[in-house]
Amino acid sequence: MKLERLNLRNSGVKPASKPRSLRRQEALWAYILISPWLIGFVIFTLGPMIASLVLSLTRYNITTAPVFILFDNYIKLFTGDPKFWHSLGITVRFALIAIPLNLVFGFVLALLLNQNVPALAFWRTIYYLPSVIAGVAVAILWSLIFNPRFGILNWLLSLVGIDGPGWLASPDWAVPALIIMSLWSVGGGMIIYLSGLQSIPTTLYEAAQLDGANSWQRLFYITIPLMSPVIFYNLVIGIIGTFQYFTEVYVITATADTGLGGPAESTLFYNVYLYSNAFRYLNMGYASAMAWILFIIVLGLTLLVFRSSALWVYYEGALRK
Amino acid sequence: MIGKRAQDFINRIIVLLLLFIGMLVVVTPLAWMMISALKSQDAVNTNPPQWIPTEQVKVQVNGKSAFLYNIEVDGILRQLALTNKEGSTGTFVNPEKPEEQYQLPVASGTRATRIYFHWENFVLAVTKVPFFHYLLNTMIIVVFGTLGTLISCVLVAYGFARFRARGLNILFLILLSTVMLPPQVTLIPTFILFRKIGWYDTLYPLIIPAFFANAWDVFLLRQFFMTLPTELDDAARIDGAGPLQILWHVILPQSYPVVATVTIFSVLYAWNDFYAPLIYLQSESHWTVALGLQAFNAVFTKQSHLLMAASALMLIPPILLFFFAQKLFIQGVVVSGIKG
Amino acid sequence: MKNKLFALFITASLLLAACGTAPAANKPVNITVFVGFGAGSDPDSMEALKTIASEYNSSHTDIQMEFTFSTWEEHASKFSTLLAGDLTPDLAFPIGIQGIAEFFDEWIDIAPFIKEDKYDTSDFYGPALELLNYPDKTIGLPVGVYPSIVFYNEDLFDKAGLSYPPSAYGDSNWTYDQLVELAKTLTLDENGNAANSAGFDAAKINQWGWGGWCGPFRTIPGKFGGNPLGMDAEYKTAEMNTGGYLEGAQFLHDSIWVTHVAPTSEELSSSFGGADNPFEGGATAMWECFSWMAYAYPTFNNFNWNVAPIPAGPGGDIVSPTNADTFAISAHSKNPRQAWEVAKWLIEPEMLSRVCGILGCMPSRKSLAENWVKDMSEEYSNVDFQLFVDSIQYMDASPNNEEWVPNYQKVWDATENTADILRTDGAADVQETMDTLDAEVQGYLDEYWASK
Repeated sequence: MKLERLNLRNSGVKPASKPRSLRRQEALWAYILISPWLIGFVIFTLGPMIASLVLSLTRYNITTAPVFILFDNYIKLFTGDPKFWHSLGITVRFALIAIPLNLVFGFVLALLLNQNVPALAFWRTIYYLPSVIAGVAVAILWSLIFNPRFGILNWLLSLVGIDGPGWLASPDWAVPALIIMSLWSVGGGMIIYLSGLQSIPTTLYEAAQLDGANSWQRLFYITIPLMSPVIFYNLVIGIIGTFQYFTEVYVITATADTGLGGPAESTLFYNVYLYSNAFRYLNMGYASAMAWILFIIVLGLTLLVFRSSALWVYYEGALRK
Repeated sequence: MIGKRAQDFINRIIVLLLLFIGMLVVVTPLAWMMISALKSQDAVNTNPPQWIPTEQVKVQVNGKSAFLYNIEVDGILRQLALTNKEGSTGTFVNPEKPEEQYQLPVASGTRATRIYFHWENFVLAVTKVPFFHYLLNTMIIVVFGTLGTLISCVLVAYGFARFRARGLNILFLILLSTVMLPPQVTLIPTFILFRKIGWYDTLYPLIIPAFFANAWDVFLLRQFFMTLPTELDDAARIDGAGPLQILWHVILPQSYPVVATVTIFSVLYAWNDFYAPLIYLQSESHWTVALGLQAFNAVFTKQSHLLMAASALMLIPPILLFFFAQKLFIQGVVVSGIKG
Repeated sequence: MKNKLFALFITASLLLAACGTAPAANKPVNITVFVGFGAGSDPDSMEALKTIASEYNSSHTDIQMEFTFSTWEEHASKFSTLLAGDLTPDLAFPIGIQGIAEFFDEWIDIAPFIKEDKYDTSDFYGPALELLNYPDKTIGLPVGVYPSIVFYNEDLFDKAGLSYPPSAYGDSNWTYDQLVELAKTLTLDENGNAANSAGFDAAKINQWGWGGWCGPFRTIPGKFGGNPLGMDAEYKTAEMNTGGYLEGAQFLHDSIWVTHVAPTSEELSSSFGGADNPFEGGATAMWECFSWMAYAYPTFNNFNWNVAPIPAGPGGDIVSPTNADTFAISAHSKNPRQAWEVAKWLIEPEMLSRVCGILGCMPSRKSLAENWVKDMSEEYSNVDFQLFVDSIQYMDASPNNEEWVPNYQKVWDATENTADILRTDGAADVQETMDTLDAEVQGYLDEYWASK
């Protein structure tokens, strides 16, 4: 018995075109429905965004009024600032590893927590807990785990005979430590996958099982395709969030002896360097330029992912043109 | 050939095993948090770290506080208080009979310790700060913020997911792009904006924007709505339902899991956020719980035990919410038979 | 119903009338005081400071004061938003030298006020006053001083059978070289071998004779005869690869990787609850840090500890790196005169004593020294607090290790990063490392002057 691979493309039978008046009505409704966002965007968001774009063309140290220097900030960033490239490099390398890892881990975890096991609510809550803990306490807790001498991680490693590294205190191991840290709070993304998994109709699985599909086939031919919109969401959000990675680094290194972005600038992520420029060097114009460069990069990547979505994302309820 | 029942059983065991191992990893820092919350202030930062709250014992001798030592006197192990120290020799006295004194090398004894759980830390954490006030403010932000988020994001996501219009795709990209700009550089212009409206030191900047939707939740809801088949929509439309009725009677009933998710995220974010309150609030009577409890980590007076106690307490409401929201995460309620 | 409305109307009109006839001319001036540049933002301090504010407000009618609190981590962004939003606080208090340097252009010169009021500054420690006298302005008057001192763990000395470091300044043998020699015997690996014995395993150190210097790198060069700022007096040329900077860097590097008496960065971070505190855990015999470590004294009490004078560098220089707290009046304040009045009230001897009790500082007034020593000795009977007072004469008043230089934060980050490298890389060539630092800082200096 052959299983039919679900059609992943958004093509479908094209119905007869709608009459103009209906299309206009549809468009009107669309705009009415999105008006809350549109209005809020104009009032609260657009202004500050334009302001920061303008500021990126100035020298602004907050204590005195901005002074226009046009593209000097951008030129300096690209040609005269090694830390710019350094921080970009750290961020990109981090993203390349953290995003796929988080995607896979979150998905696997959600699969596990969607099984028929006893006390499911309990397990889900346990895995959700880490993402609930706020900022400062997290730093203290992680210093416990990553403590080179007394930390849990190195203790576990010593059980299998490995001499654990310095983690957050070591320039080479600080970023891996941060990657591990990001996985701990994967429970947040797990919920999103769970809500996606919940809406896959059980009838599909039943039908597939009747057709003789085993669990791997069910996973690859039903679960993943139907989850692709949610996977897509996590991918895009992951890109946007990872490139702006800041809070964890700040909480851990701001008061540490090694300074913000330490040790030895190994955790100087792009947004960390941006923050330093904005609020420590009081170079708000320069920081704004950095922000808009990041904006372009992230926007570009997101557009690429959106383009590619036609190939792998399946929407059951996609509107046929 | 293993029977289906046996296969199921083995699967369940494997899953439970994996979950259990993972739980150890996840729960250990949380256990540390709870344990640290029960320590005395000088016991939190010991080296090596303690897993059982242990502290040194102090006694009162002649009106002054002194450390108790386990020290050998004439071959017998005694518990004596160190009242005076001259170089490496100390005066050790019997706390019950202060006239009984010995001059002994301090290095020959060790500090006496006791295990003690400071449950009062939890009480301290909420009484050292005007907790009730903070809680009230936080609840206002959480409730209205979540309400605003739900209403606005559902409407907006519905518009993007179920309708076509010129420029809608561009607008969706613009929506997403609003969160691509690092907030550090829009902080000051946004602050000036709210200041000019007159909302500084009020809760409005923390609540009102929620009624105008946010990119994350709209994106999530939109993705989810697009997984719902359109046949039910069409059927309702044929029956004469308008767009809002379709939203209410068709879309939402199929969307409990994602709506629950958005609710949880929204509550969690408002509950834990201390940065926006720090920037937009001034008078402490307006402070939120998250901001107020940050104070325990002040740089020159680290009261880690209270910080841990406070952080542990902060976990309770989101956890309760999540736990009870599980009811909404039940397996798909989608009506079958349509794809048949 | 009508009666209720009528009553409401009457009440409303009465209220309006009351508001209207309130004397507008004598409204008190509101002074906001920003707390966040240093200590003061923890719950206990906040309570105590608010009490002080209400005491001021009930005894003054022309001026009312109010504290605004921010966590230290976010003080820069909070203060920036207030500045940009035209809500600048009138006073920053307490604020250290570093805080002053962060927003250097923001503070006004209070010398005119001092002169006008003929304010008597003789009670303040001379070096502390000097600290706040910048070339073109005097920014504040000292509130608290935090000299550095050597903390040592008596129990570890007892166990090793060594006699304690000197108990007073004036011992000409007490140099950093002697300290290192002492530290060798007190540095033990996990098998109990001391650093100066055969069989010592430097990779498995359990106890360090010397925790190092807790402060920023700039606290070190002065001890080796150099200038903490690492540049010429005109701030034009970086001088970080010679003299005091180089010698200090070499000493730091050697103490970790050659004599092994001090911990590496990794080992430093093994101390819990604050990576800059190897002493608290009881695994370090000696450690030099500032007196604002007072908040950790309760944890130090887990063992018997005491303090020793600052040793002399190879050239005989005794430098006790000092932090100081002051107040500063903002240039955007609409009522600088009144802000000055509030500041003066806060530094009156009795109030200053109280404030320092809250913030954990050593009072900057000579007249308060005796009482301070007495109070501290009562709480920590084994410790010689007079030494703190004695250290003030060796304070690095000018230039101070936290003092402003052009491109302050960038230069700061660069020197700290270099200290990091020295503590993490045993194979680093010290001269090369300092050459790199020197070039980087020169770049920042050039950048600064080019934009003037």
